[in-house]
Amino acid sequence: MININLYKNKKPKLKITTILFLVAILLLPVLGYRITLTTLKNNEMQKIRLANPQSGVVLRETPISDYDDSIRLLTLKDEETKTQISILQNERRNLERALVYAMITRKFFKAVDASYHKHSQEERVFVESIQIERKSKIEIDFFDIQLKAGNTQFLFFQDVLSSIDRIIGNTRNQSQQIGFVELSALKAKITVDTSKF
Amino acid sequence: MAFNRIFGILIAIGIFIASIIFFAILPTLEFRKQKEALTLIAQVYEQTWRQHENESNQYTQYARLIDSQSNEFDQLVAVLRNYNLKPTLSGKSLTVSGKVSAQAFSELLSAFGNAYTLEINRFNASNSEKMPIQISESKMTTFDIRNLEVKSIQYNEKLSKR
Repeated sequence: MININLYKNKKPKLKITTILFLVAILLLPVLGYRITLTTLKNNEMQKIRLANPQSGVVLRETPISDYDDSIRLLTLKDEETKTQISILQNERRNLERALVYAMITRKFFKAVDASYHKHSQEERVFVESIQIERKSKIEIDFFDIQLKAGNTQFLFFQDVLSSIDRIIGNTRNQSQQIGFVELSALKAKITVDTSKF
Repeated sequence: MAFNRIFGILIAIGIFIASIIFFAILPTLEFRKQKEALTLIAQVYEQTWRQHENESNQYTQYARLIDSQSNEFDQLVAVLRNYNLKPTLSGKSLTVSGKVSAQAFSELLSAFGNAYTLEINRFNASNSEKMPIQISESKMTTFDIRNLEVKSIQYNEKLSKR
């Protein structure tokens, strides 16, 4: 048997369709990988959304596979939230300062009232003046007078001073004992420094 | 002929390698970078959101406390009016001056002693009698109030969750 090449003299041609076909075959695995990658992206995005629920709520607005837009949106939302936190913190501190100051004045008057009622049988108290200046001081000037002759213990003064000092702190006091008829009296001044409030 | 074949194979391998680089390796690297960045910003946002929640809750608690004592200011105004003082009101703040009896003064101090949400910005009161010279006299003393400035603590309703 003799092999005869009938196309021996035929010039080999590379057809365009052959080239396209070969290229398509070569690209197929790559395109397949692209599809896999997109699926992977979607799965990873789902995982991120589940692990971070609040971010997930924000990310509902962007397509699931759009990472760039998601990052941009979350960054923007994070900045917005940080600004809100800053506003909230300022407002909260202002409220706290105001509430603490209101508490100081309340406790001051409570302490005076409690000590007055506690010692009203033994002593008489005459308020000369009360002065309050925000960011400065609370001050009370008074006379503490013993109702029993010879008694030199000024219970109201001691009690109110220790109460205010214990509850509020930052107190100063001045006192001077004076004779009043046969009784002894104490002219006293208690000052609470409220400059920090 | 052989040259053409080798040339064709080289072109095919070149296309294959280029397509792997452009369509597989580069997108994978880009994806990894994006995933890390997104995971990081998502975690940061979660922390920021939690911090916002904490701040907001704390603010709302203060707002509730203020609301629960919201009648203090009106009660103070009523006390002042009851003793013929005419406070000048401006929203939730007032200024007042005048003379009051010892009883009214005591009631005023009592109101201050029970106020959780009143800010006394200025209060200057002095006894109109020189003490204690006249303590034995039956005459009732009066107090001179100058520039009592009181403000009710207010909060921003937009920031509260109420």
